[in-house]
Amino acid sequence: MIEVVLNTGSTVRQGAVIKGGRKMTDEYVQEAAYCELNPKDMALVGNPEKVKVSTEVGDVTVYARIDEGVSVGEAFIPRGPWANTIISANTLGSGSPYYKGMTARVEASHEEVLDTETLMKRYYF
Amino acid sequence: MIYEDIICPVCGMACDDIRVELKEGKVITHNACLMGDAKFQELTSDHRIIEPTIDGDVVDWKDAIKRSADMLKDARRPLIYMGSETSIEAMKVGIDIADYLGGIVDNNASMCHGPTVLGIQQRGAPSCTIGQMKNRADTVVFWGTNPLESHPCHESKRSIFPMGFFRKRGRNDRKIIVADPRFTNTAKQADLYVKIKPGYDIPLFNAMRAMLRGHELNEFTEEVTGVDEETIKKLMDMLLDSEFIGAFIGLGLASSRGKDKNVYILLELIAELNAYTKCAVIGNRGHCNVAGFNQVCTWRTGFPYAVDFSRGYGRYNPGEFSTTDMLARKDVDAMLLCCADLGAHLPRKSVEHMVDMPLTTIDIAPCPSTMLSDVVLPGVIDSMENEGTFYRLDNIPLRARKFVDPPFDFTTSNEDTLKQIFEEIKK
Repeated sequence: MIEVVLNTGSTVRQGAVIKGGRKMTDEYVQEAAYCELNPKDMALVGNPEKVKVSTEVGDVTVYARIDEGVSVGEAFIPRGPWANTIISANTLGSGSPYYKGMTARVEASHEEVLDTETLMKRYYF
Repeated sequence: MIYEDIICPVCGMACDDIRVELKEGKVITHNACLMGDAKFQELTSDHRIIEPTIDGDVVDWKDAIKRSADMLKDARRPLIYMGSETSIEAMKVGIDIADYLGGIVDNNASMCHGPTVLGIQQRGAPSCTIGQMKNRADTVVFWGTNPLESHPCHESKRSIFPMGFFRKRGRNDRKIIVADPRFTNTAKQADLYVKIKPGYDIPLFNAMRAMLRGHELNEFTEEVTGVDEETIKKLMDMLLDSEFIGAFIGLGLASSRGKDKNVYILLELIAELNAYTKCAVIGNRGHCNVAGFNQVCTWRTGFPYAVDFSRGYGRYNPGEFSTTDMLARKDVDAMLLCCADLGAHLPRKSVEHMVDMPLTTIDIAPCPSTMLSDVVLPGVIDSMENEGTFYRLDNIPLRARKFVDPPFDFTTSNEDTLKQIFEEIKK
C-alpha cells in the first residue's frame, strides 16, 4: 500500500462519453474508472490490473494505468462517479469539493470494477 | 442540408463556427472536437430521453409537470439547480422559481470555478477577451489547466497556434508556460514546464512576488514549492520579457487546497506584474454557459451563484448556500435539477441526500441523476433545437440559432419547460 496525493479532473475521452450521453455504458467504465500512477508507484503496489483507492470518505476499485506524466506520490482519476465516491464534500467554506489534493492510499485489488448502474445502486440505494 | 456557424454548447469555448450537416438521418460535424461531436450526435441518438417519467413509468407530460411543481411547492427549502448547458433565458426562469418559493438557486460555478469567482471578487482581475489574447499575447500561461483535454479547440483557435494581429507567425510568436503537477499533453507543448507540488501554489506565487521585488529566496523555497530557484528565475524572466501575458487559470487552483485564496494571491502577483508589463487573466470555465449563469444571476439577484431567498431577499454565501454543502448537510428537502448530472459529479455525501428527497431532473440522456430522480423530464438541446444566449468563458454573449426541432411537441425549450413548472407552482 502506498500513500498518494489524489488528483481528479477531466479528460477529453471521458468528456466525449459524458457529452454523448453514454454514461450508462461500458465506455464510461473504460474512460473514467481508472487510476493513473507513476511506473515507480505502480511497481510498489505490484503492477496490478486493478487498484483499490481509499480516502477518509471510503474506497473504490478501479483499473490501474501507468502514466509517466504523473509524479511519484501522486495519483490521477478522471472525474466521474468512481472518483466521487471517495471525494470529500468538505468544501473548506468555498462551495467547491476537495476534487484535488486529498490524501489517498492505493493498493492492489481483486474486487470487481463496478459499472455505472451497479456502482450507483451499491453506494447510494 | 449544411448549417454554418452553429454554436457548440459543450465547453466554455462555446465555438461559434461549427459546420453541421444533416444527411439521411445522420449528423455530420465538419469541425467539432471529440466532445462537441458527441453532443451533436445526441440529436439522433437512440438513448435520447423523449418521454417524461415518474418513478420510472412513462406518464403524460402535464402530470409530470404537475408532480414536479407539487414536489417543489411542498418543500420547505427547495434547491433549483440550473446546469450550464442551457440558455440564460432558461436560467432566468430557474432563478425566478427559487425567488418565488423562497428556495436556493445554484449552478455548476459552485463546484467548479466558484473559488475563481470568489478570488476575483476579493482582488479584482485585469481581463480581456480570448480574441484579444490571440491578437496580443506573446507569452501564454496555463496554470492548473489542461485545455488540450478540457477545451480541445482552445489552442488551435485562440491561445497557441492561430495567427494574431500582433502575432502573425502564430506559435512561433508565442512562448508557452504550463504549470501543473502532471506532465499533461498541454505541458508537452510548453517552452517552460513548471512542475508544481499539489496544493502549494500560494508559496510559489509568493516566491515569484518576492523575486519580482528583488528579494533573495531562502533555502526552503524548493522544499516548500517543489520548484527550484533556477526554474522560478527562468519563469520570471520569461514573464518580464513579455509584451503581453495571457494567463489562463484552471481548476488546479480552484479545486485544490487554498481554493479562492490560490486565485487571490495569483491576482496579487498579476497586479504586481502589471507594473512592468501587461498581464490579463481568464478562467478556463469548463461548461459552455457557466459564465452565463454568473452573469444572469448577478443582474437578477446581485450575486453570481449560491443564492438563498429564504428570507424574502437574496443572500449569498458559498460554503453555506452552495449545492455541495447544502446537500451534505441535508439542508434542502426537494430539488429541481436542470441540465446537469450531479449524481455523477458531486461527492458521495452530497449524492446520498439526492436519493432521500424528491428530485426532478431535466436531461437529454440516462445518467446517474436520472436513476436517482422521482420525475424525469426530457430536455431540449439548447443552441440546436431552440435559440438562446450563451456566454463564452470570457463573458462574451453569443446568440445561438436553432436548426432542428426537438423530438417532441410538449415543450419547445428548457425555458418553456421551466415556465410550465413555474405556472403550475403559482396555481
